[in-house]
Amino acid sequence: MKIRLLTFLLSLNLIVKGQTISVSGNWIPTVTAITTTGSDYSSSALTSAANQTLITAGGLGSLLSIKNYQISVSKTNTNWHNNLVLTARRTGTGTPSFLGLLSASGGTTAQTITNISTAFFTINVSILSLGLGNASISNIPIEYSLSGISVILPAKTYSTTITYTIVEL
Amino acid sequence: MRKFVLISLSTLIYLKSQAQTSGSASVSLTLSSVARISIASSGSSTLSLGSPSTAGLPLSTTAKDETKWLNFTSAVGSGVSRRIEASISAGTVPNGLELKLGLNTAVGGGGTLGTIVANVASPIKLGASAIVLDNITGAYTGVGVGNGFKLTYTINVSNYGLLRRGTSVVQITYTLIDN
Repeated sequence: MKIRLLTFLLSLNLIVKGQTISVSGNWIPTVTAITTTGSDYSSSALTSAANQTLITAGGLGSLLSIKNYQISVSKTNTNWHNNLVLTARRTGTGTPSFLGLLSASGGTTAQTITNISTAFFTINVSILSLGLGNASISNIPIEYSLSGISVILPAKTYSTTITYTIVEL
Repeated sequence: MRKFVLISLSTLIYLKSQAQTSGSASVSLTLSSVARISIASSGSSTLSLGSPSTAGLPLSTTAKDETKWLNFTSAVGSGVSRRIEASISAGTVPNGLELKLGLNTAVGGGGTLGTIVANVASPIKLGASAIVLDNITGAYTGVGVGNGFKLTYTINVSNYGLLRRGTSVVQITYTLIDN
């Protein structure tokens, strides 16, 4: 009876425990003031720090099989202009809780963030991660670039919220 | 034992409901209003009325200068437009003469550069402040000579009887103003 119960609980644990994601680091780019009359902004594109946003994914892995997770990205505009193009790219691997058993792949080329959730990069977890669903990769660094900046755009504050979503593949 | 199983099940389901599968970060860019205007190149323009080649003929009644270009950068909020006014801010045009200004079609730049009010075909007489370009919104002309609006200054005799020999200097000021 006890063995049955433990088996049941273990199975239930594997079923119900899910992956999690946490995101930190907003970006407030600064435009260099125009100093030459007749010119547009000196740079129509701005790039953030390489680790502007840090993503931590947890609750990963399983005793039973290799697990892959997809991180998707999208944006929800508060005030935005169609000329503004926002891209993101993954600039590092982050810190896995089990070195060599978890890795991030893809997403290292700048990808335009649209209003529709789009695959960004994947996290691969080895069958030997022994995590019981508790393996993690922390602080995966993300860099942004914003182009289309011009005096032609109405003067105001443009803002958007970038959402990262993790799903098991 | 049943009670234990129920509690465990409840706890695990609770854990599932707490799983955070999305997170967010924000991007915020502020573009400020910009209003800059200049004339290229620096220095003065000289307009001279020439003597007639034959005694008894009138003066060369029109002198023209097209060495100056109007440059500006404008960024405005939604629903806002601007205009450029020109005026003689120092000095006076000699009696018997008229100093006129016309803007040529813009060269280079981008955005909404506005509508020419004082064009070359129908120049305005310079004096008190007058609109020469209107309905500018977000725009830039490009920098320096050869970019923006070439300015055509002309001077002509309006009354021979008032003409006197001499040199006169006038200063023309251009102002970029919100409508």
